[in-house]
Amino acid sequence: MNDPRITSYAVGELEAAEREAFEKELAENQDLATCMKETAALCDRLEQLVEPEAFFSGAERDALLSRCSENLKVARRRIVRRRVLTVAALGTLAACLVLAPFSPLTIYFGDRAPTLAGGSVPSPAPAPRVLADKPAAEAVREGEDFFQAGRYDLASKRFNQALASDPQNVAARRGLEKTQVPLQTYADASAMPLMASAGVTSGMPVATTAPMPAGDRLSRNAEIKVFSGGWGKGTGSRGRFVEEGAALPPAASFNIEAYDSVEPGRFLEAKGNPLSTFSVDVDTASYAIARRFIMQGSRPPRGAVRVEEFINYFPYELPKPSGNDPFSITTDAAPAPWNPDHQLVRVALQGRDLPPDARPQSNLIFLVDVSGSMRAEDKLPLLKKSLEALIERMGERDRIAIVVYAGASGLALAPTSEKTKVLSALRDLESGGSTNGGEGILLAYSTARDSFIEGGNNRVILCSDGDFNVGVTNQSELVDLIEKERDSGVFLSVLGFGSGNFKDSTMEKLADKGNGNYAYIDSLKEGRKVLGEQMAGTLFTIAKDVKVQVEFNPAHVAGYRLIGYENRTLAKEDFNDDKKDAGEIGAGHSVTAFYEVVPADKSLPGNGTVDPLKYQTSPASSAPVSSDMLTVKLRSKAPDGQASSLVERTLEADAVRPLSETPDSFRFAAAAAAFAMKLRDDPLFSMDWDAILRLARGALGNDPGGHRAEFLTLVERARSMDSP
Amino acid sequence: MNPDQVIREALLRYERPLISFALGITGDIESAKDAVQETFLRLSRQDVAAIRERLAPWLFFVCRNCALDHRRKVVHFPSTGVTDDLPDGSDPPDVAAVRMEETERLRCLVNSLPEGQRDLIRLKFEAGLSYREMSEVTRTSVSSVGVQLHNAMSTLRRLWTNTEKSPAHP
Repeated sequence: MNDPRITSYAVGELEAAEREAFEKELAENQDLATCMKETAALCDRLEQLVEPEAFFSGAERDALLSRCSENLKVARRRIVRRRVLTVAALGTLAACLVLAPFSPLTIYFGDRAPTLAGGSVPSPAPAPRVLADKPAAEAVREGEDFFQAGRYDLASKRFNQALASDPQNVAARRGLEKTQVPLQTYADASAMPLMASAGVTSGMPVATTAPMPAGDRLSRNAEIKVFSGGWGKGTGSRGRFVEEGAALPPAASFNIEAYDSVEPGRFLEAKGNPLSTFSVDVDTASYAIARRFIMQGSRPPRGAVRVEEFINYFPYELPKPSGNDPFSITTDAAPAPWNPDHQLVRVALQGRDLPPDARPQSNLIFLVDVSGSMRAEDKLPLLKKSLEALIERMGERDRIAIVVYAGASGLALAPTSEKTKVLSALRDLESGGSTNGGEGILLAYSTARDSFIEGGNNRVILCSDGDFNVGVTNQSELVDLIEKERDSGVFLSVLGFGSGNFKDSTMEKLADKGNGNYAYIDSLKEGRKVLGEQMAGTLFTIAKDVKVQVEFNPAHVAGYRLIGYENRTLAKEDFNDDKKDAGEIGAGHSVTAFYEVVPADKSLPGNGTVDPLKYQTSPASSAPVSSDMLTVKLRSKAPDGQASSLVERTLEADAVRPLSETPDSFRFAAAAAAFAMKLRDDPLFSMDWDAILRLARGALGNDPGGHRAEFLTLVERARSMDSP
Repeated sequence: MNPDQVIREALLRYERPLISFALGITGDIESAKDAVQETFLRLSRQDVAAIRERLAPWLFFVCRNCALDHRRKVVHFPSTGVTDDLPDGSDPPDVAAVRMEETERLRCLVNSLPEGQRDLIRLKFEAGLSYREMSEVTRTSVSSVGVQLHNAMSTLRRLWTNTEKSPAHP
């Protein structure tokens, strides 16, 4: 019975006349009638067929509705604006038509117009659809939409089109200007197509918070929330155009990961700037993030590459600290592998390790982001497995609590020492809802304070993709919040997860300000490294507010530059100021910093020349020249201390050894630094991939954990991407 | 009715049909729910009043796209559908279906339909859309919707009787 009318009749879709005719046939044709009966019965059954799980929980529904009404508020404002624009544009259009009725009018077909007109390409001599087809205001509105969707290229095209038809259009001009900013700052993030091709970002939420100029960011705060939605695991790249059936280029996907841009350090003249001060940084996230990008076949955004985190990702064999010292200090120098005229000076700290029985009692609060955006396999599920590795290593006396946060936050597990309880609570965590990071952080800290262990290791472990989109979302407010909590003696570890909407910048700042460290976990292997192998370093702080100040002797040093640590530099006055926060060193952690030093007889590269100073007396003549090249000063505090202690080391100018005589730890760290600088296109750095590979290969050492071998693979992959 | 109310009512009315429609596409419930959430968030960014007239097709069309996005991301392999030219009397595609409760059996059969047909069944019976609305969602003509739906119904009817007649397995 291949008659569509059967079904149409059963579901009541036949017109009155057809129905009558069909009913007549039914009465006459027995087969048709049987068939009809069966179909009707099936229809009844089908109508009662419901998917058992196809509904939201009350909380999900409430969260969704409240986000919708937030959006509506924003939309209402926009609609008003749009209407005003349309009226203005119609005025302009009318003026055009009156003033130039016979002049050749630009005929506009936006790239969507043919699609809308039924997919046909306009014929060679299209009917003059004139400007009315796409008035300037329309183009401006679309430009705005594209802008908010993060499609700056298309936005700028629209604004240009609007200007072409209406050169006086202020909105278009303004739109074009604001489009230029992100287009430039994100020039290399147009590596986005690259990422998209790697499948990192396919179908990621539209809009981006990163490239917006600061001023814009504030005014658009509400919309940012809307677009970078936590549910947005699979927001279509077509964004708000989907419903119009318009086909945008399918390749267009977005990445809304946020990375701060970092300016590579410049050479400073030793005469005018003898002091270089920075805070140590034991974070390793940047390396893991870059690894993720490279393994997926694209170059990491430059802002995601922090040289110091590349260097410090690897464990190094450095002298163990002696006696009660929290760490040992190593200083040495060799010609720079990328420029034999320059010297590479290493300042390396090795933190004391804490054997398991010497570890203080721990009071850990897992602060777990369970928002919808954490649902992906590389987020919550990975997080659970990684934390399990940690829980297995916990001692009997240690206490663990779990605070979860999404749209609302709550205590999922009160502090307990029972591992089984912790494990089962952890396994029960489920994702759903938006992300109110601020509230969760408050609750975690207050839980930590309530169960505070005097002299113990009190620590909040924040696990998130950093995409805080509800409540306090402003980075600086979050940072304020963390800074306030810092004084309570509770440390912070930040574990970043996932890709696509990952907010590196937020996460790093939180760790930086919260007396903490920051690691990015892209795989179970990395999770085991951070929370298993190096768990002591992640969890137990042995020295805090560790600052380094180096004084260069102009008699031997023309200039220098600090490699990496760009966002960790301090004012020279901060060094002796114990109120200034700085980095922490965990048990067994090592920290390596490099200076690229230009010897006194060489000229500084890359700097504009400054006229010689007229009123500075030259000290060279008065005192005998010291043989020191530089002095390293270190300040640090005990984990619970308030006052810092000072240690000094000097490095003689003639201590520079040939590179081949330096230990593996020196050369491998140099290779890691070189790799990072290469990825970052550091203008003052040049070394080819093979040289980096050779340097690293010759310094593999014992390589526990195989991290250095992996580094080689990574460099090779980066090389192959660089030279297609 | 203000936009807030429109959205509230739309959620009330279409939550289940939308989720199960999306489920048919994504194959897993979480992604399906995500897709529906995304659909409503998009709705809330629209001029709701303007869409209100054709709300149902709009919702299902957008939901379909969201769900497809999800599926593209997850690399989900849809179960191979049952083709129409399956000869009558051949073994039912899913022998296990016979043993299932009637509802479960029917759901199974619906899921075994080719994707386009399955969507139409859901749109018609779960969501209660008219042919016209369905044609808006699927971007096909009304008559094509009628034919496709009928094909789906015929296949279902045949499979239904077949599985019913087959002796239950021991």
